[in-house]
Order: sequence, then structure tokens, then C-alpha cells
Amino acid sequence: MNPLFESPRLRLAPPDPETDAAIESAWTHDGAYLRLVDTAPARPLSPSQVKKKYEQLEKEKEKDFYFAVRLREKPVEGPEGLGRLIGFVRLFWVDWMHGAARLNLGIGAPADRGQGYGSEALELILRYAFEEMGLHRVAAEAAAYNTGALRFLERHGFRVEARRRQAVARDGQRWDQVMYGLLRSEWEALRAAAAVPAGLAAPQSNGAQGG
Amino acid sequence: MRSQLGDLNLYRGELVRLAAMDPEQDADAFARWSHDSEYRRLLDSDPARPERAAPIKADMEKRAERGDDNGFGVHTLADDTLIGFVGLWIASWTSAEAFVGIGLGDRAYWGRGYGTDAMRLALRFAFNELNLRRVSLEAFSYNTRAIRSYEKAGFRREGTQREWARRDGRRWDVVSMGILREEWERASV
Repeated sequence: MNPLFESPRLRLAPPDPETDAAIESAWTHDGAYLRLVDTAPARPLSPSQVKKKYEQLEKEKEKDFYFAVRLREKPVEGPEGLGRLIGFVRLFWVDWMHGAARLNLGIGAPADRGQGYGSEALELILRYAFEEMGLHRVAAEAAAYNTGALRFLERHGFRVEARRRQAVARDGQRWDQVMYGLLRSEWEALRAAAAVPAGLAAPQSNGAQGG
Repeated sequence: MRSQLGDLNLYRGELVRLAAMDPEQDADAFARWSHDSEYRRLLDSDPARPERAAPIKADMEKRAERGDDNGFGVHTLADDTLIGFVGLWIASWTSAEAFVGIGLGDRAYWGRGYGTDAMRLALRFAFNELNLRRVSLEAFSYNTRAIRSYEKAGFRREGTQREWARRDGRRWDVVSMGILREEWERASV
């Protein structure tokens, strides 16, 4: 089995209040980041408020799977360290009975964006959602002004399921909230298509399975 | 009483009125309704579970104490029977949006316009008192009677969350609906 928490460059780990709170606090002083990451009123948080948030998440961990996204270190020798915090990824509102959850993801510092870390973290969390948690579907949402997020979700196979008209007010305007969904079957098909060279993808290919 | 406000009695419709939840009086009815599994499975995605009145009463008391709860009992005008509830949950004050939930536990009043009337009252309260800009709801695709009622009250379909629910071994969509303040104003003149 492939490791669940590591990709070539990233690692999913629990947040560490001692080292992470100050970094996440710095992200929340960037209003632009907060207005892309969700639709709650943007509000800067002190490190101690971030710590409280981590404690709250710990209490709700049956329904809220929150991971710190860390850059993997290349150890010179000895065990690999935890690595620098660059973002978070989260499956929340987990409904075990129906097999559904909602996704949120953010890369905190502007310097860390645009390098494919979001895609890499998304691949990890989707595999975790479908193969570890056994979910049937994962939903995500983005305000219509957040064109980067809309493109990101569509590029990774999420389908538009609903447009909640004028559900977000910002800068004196009202914006639709676009609701996305990805089913397990769709994710499996995307994965199979990505893993198999095009010439072998035909259904009648005789036993050409990955090994 | 006279004033320059329009309809002062926000809580009175054609068939029903909205009233404060009364833990003493109302918990028994809610417990009785929870023994109707069909009602519970139309209502929401929680596991249908028959409940005793005591925990329901405790929950109602907690809500009443908070003081910011927009949940109401739905009573008939004819004889003041409690037949269900309707509640608004403020999703965001900055975006001025609430989600609405409604349930008629008493089957004798299904399909007769009582739910639509209660929903109209909830919308009037949402737009004229809470000053919201948008009210949203979600419904199971199998709950066709409710969806018709919501459309009658002015909601529009905005999409479906595919295969969200699993019940009786099948997958069901969840329908997203919404009504904007302007739409409601146009419909209510």
C-alpha cells in the first residue's frame, strides 16, 4: 500500500500548536487570503486564538478531519523532520451514515502558491476520503469571484452541482456560491485514466493492470 | 393597534400561526412525531430514532435560554393545535442568508397547504423582520410533496447534490433551493 500521508513534496500531519499557531496567525493577517479561503467575515487571529481553534478541532475530530500540510524535508541523515507548515486541508461536516463530507483547502503564504502544492494536497486528501474514510462523495464550494478556486476544482474533476444565487456579499456586490461535488466513481475513473497509458486504457485490454 | 408599518402581525397566516416553542406543552408532540419513521426520513439526514419527551424538552429549554433562536411552533388557527415547527438558521449575517427547516409532524395536515402557509410566514419574518437577503433550503429528491410546497412558496431550484443520501440501499440526490429578497417582494405585492 502506498503511504497515505506523504506525496513527493508534502506531508499531511496534525497541527502542532507550539510551532504552527504563529504561522497560521500570520496568514490570517492577509485579508486577501481569508476572502479566498472561505466566506466567513475576514478577521485576523492571534496565535492564542489559533491555538484555541486547534483545541476545538481536536474535540470535533470525528466530524472534522483537519490536516496541516507540510513541506517534506530531505534529511541529511536520521529521521525526516515534520517540515515547514504551508497550508491546511480539511474534510468537515462528515456524515458517516450517508458517506458525505465537505472539503476545504488553503495554501497560506503567497510565496507558496502557484507551485502545485494545492493539487498535491488535494490528491492526498481525496485518496484519504475515498480509500481510508470510505466516503461516497466529497463536496466543495467557492464564491463566484474566486476564479482560481473554480478552475482548480474543475481541473481536478469536481462537477458544478448547484449555484446558490447571490449567497455571498462582498465589496458591495452579491456573488453566487458555486457548489461542487465529486463522486467516488468519478474519482476512481479519473485515477485509472491518469495511471494507465492511453494505449492500454481500452476496456478489452487483456489484464493490463497496474501492479 | 395602528402604526405605519404594514402587517403588524407577523406571526399570523391564513391557516396557521407561529408561536414560541413551549418546552412544557410541546415536547410530548415532538416525541410522538419522532415515532413516525417516514416523517423523520423526510425531515433530515439524521438517523431516524424514536425519542422520549424529556431530552426534547431539555433541548427546547436550552434554545429558549440562548434567546437568539428563530424557531417557532406551527399552530392551526382553527383550534390552535400544534402541528409542526419551522425554524430559520442564520448562515451568515454579513451575507444576510438563512437556511430554513420545516416539519409537519401531524400527518392529518399533510398536503393541505398548512406547510406552505407556515413557510410563507417564515419568509415574511426572514425578509421583513430579520432583513435577510436570501433564504435557502435543502430537500431530499424523494420528498416531492415538500419540494412542490417550497416552489409554491416561491423557492427556485438551484441544483442538486448528487447521490448525497443513502436510504433503503439506494442513493438519493439532495435538491438545493433558494429565494432572494427581490423575488419574494415581487411575489408578495
